[in-house]
Amino acid sequence: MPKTVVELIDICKTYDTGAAAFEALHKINLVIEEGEFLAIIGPSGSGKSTLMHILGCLDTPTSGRMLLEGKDISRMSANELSAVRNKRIGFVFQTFNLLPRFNILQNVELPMVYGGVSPFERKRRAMDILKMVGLDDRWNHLPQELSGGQRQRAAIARALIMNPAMVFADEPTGNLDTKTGAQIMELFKELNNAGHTIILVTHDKDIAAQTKRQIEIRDGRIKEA
Amino acid sequence: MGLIHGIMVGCKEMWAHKMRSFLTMLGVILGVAALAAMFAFMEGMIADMQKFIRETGGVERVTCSSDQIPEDQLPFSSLNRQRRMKDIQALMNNIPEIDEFSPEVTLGRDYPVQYLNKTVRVEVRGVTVGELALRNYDVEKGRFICDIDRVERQRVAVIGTYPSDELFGQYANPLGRTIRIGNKNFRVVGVLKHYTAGMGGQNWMNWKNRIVFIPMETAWLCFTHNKDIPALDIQVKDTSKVAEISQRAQQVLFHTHRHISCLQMRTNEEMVENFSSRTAAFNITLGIVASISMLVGGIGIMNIMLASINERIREIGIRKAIGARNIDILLQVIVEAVLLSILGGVLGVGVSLLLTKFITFFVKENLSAPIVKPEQLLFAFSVSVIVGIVFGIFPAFKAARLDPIEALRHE
Repeated sequence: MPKTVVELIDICKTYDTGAAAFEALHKINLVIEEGEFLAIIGPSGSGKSTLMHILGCLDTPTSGRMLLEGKDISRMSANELSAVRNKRIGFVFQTFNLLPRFNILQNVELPMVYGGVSPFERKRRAMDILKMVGLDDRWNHLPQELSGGQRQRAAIARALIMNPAMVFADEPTGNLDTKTGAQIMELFKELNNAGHTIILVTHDKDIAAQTKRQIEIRDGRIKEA
Repeated sequence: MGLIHGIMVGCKEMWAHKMRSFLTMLGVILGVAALAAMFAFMEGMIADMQKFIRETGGVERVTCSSDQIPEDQLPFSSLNRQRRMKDIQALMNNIPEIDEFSPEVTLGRDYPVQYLNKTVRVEVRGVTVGELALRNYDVEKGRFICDIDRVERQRVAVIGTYPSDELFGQYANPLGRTIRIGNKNFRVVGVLKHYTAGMGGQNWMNWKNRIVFIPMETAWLCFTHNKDIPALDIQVKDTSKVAEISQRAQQVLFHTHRHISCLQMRTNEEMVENFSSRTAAFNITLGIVASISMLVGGIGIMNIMLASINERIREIGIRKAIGARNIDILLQVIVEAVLLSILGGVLGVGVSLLLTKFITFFVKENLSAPIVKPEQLLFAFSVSVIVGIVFGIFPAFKAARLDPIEALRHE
């Protein structure tokens, strides 16, 4: 039986916007297992982003519990959440979000800087992972010197470098043309086949269709497809 | 987070905004330069003043000079008389702690002294042997005025290097030659040491060289035709007693002058005190000016750090998303601010060295040679580092408290 990576129990998130409280998520229950390739879909304003932020430990729920690898995340301090984000979660963004003044190698090394990995080890691991995404010959290029597809590969390398429990990809193909987008999706599939847990957040039904499991969020509630 | 990473990020940021960083640093540079240069000039002034005090007899010297007679004593002022040898005798008998007396009869500060057809104008003073100790003179060649000269009213003179060089040339031997002071002939029996201090060709100790000494009694006989002692200095070697003894000396002289307060005792200690209180005031004023410029520099750093953070909100969001703790972001901003101020401090110390050289070169007169002390450069530099930390804290907190979600959304 596969290991459970994340378990959400009755997660609610309410935003206090002065006069009326706005309920972004209502009693979400969700289990994600190791090796899953999951898509979260939904129109904007559905609570899809809020769910991703909570799953990604960038935000805490108003009520309910979230267990990440058996540990209760919802009561952790900001510093503990930082450590969890650093070691157990990888992020891939629509706009790549690479640091512009650092070359690809340094960008990939960045999580290890905060993770306390020694400089020598950092370099070795970063080069290994760049080789895996096919960018080892571009390690000393700045992000703006690369194409969109290459930048997203570098961002994926950065997300994987700490060997996280799950990788979040927020509209990873949104800024890419169809062909490059397809290549990035291929890469995600390969990574999933290699055993990585991947959670894709998108509003594109075609992209979502390429995953193994889809969850639709509407008005803060889950509708499993 | 490694400190090295923070420094690397800071250097990259500075390099990416070279002009902006330089302009920001300028405030610190000027502040540190002003502070360090001020220290150097104050140090120079203090050293010169100390030398001046030492060369004029140090704190062991008490000067007894005439004072304005108070109004209520004016009716009897005719009872008053000048100081005479009798006064010195009274001081000697009553205050054994006085080590040396130096009565002086100054003929004039620009008194003509001739040799053959050459004339120099120098200070001519009738003195006793006490002058050597009290005015810190040393004889280079020949001898000084001695008591036999005074008793016999000898027409002998001991001359400083200025009249010696002017009248005889630098290489001739003046000893035994006859010079004319006023219209009397004097034989040169000694030449004083050459005194030098200051810089850039300026010798502000030259007054000490522009001198001719003759025996006091000879001065009375040949020039003043009385036996008055217009100036009297006394020396008290035990410096802890100077104040007390000058008080007692005043009492004795008060008595010998029929209780008319026509005398004033001035110790060099007062001069030293006067001087140190003035330097303190100077230090405070210049310190305030330097602090204000450091403050301005610090505000500049704070301003630019706030701007830099505003530009890099997204970067901070990314860093937080991949695991940077609040303290990591806080430290990084402080490190960047400190880098700016350290670089400013280093450049400021450099500028201060140039500044002292520059000012010395262009304003030679009325200025003591600056003395640059390493510990004071270090102090000025550390002030700049502290400014960086202090003014980096507010922007750092602001950056550290950014919400990662908001920061990531920021365009």
